[in-house]
Amino acid sequence: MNIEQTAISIDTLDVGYATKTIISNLNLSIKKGKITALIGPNGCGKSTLLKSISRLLKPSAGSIHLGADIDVLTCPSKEIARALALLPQMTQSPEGITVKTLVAFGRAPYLNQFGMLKEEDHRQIELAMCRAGVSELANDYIDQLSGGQLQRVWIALILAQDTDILLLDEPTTYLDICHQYELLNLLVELNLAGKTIVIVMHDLNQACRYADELVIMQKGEIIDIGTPHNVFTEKMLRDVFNFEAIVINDPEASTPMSVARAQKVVKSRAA
Amino acid sequence: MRVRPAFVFISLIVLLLCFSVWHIGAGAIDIAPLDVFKALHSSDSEHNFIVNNFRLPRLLISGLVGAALAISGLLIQGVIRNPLASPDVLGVTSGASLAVITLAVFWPNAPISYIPPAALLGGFGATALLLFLARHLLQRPAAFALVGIALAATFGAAIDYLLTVNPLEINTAMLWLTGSVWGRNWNHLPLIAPWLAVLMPLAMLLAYRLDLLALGDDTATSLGTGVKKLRLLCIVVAISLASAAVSVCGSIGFVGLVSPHLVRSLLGHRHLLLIPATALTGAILVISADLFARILMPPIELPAGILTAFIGAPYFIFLLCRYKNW
Repeated sequence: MNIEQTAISIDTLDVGYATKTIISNLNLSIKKGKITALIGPNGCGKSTLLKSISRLLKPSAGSIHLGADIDVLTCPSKEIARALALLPQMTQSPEGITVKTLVAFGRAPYLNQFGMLKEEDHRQIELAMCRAGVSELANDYIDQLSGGQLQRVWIALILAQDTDILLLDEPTTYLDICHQYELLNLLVELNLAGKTIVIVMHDLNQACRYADELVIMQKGEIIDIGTPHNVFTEKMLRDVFNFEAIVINDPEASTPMSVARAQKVVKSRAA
Repeated sequence: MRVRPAFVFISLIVLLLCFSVWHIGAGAIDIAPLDVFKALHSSDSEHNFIVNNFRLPRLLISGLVGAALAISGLLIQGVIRNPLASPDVLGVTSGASLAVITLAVFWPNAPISYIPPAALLGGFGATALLLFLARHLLQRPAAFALVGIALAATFGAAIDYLLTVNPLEINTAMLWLTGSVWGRNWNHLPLIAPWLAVLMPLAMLLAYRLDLLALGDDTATSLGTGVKKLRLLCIVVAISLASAAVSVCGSIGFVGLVSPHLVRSLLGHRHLLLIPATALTGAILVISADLFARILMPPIELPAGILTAFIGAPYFIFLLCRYKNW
């Protein structure tokens, strides 16, 4: 693949916890300017992969590069933080701080020891809050926000980090359905503005609708990779997810979507 | 309750000055506030000798010990994200005390300069033991604190044993143990002042990264912070400060627990402000405790540690009751 179009390239990666290897000998290229969704059953290693890319886990072998020249395993942490931002699955917000204060932490990779904000930082913070749609909340305390608002504030934080790549670990998990779609639409907007987005998702139909590329994982290996149209099949659902379903065309977005097959028990009850 | 930082700092400094003047003035010979200033300035004042040789060093040591314990508590609470943590609750100060008592029992003639390394050794030993025993409880603040309390009790029992079996100068040891600044003079100042002079600026350098740590390990890491190194460095600074404080005047309890809470409720989350503010608060707490310990029932002088426990223990119980995440 052309290196110019690659945002993240992963080469013969081994990762695991103390004694257990989760991922072994994994190769993957993630395309620049696309939305890539990592999907797979629980424990397939998709979060582990995301954590390795964002250096929360140290691989035992292999390499991870951002673009052509940033080596994630050897580059200074601050430099990587200017190229790649992560929204973890569980976020932690200190009590009693305002939205703006929280978003300002996104500027950390650009600041000195004491975290003094310069004019450019204030500009980036305003811009990030505007893009995430939380400008009106700037002076509100974060303990007063709803779950959906808080998640958008966290998006603003990683936007303030001003990186080309955004990694998101199941960002919709704790949101109600309306805020899930609101957040996903926001990600599409950011993607259209040029961000490369890698997202771990549980909802397969949302993944098909929003992702340009699906990376399908099972037991620490990549089973398939490609556009939803090419890789999201009934056979794949059965083999990887142990899920009996038919795949139909999403009437709204014309992307594939799965519908679970009805069990006999359900049928007989209906009759 | 959020107050302007400038207002908080001015209030703390004024409070500190008032208590300092009162502290120097009060005692067997009462000195009026104005005479205190006179005694400090001119050598021909009638109180010059008593102020400069006894009361001023005692005041300075009280203040520095309070500041060291308070910063230690702030760092420990920040770094293990445990509102119930402080050097005394976790057994760090009693570990340091045990080491110093051991030194005094087995080597009664050891020079005073041997006390700080002994205290440091005890403090770090206790912390290492705690981190080992409670390594699976780091995410459960209350359980972690309980292991610390159990360790502190064990060290306390060991101290009692040593003192009972070796009734040496038990009075001095007892006084030192309960956290008293009685009889402290200029010779004791080098045991604490340099530590604070080096470690407090170091803590300020780490302040912004401590703010980031409050966002969780994952976010702090992805924002470019070396979380493990930061945590280790902060713990080393915190234990060194607490052990240095212990080497001067035994364990004065609860200052490290209460001061950071008090200051957080006024100033919020920024460690760059919290560190100096909590240092001032700790200094005020120990100075006022030592003051009231002397003037409450003269001529008996209570150890300051008893008074800080009177304020701190109920507060600790309050925190435990309010704490829901068991």
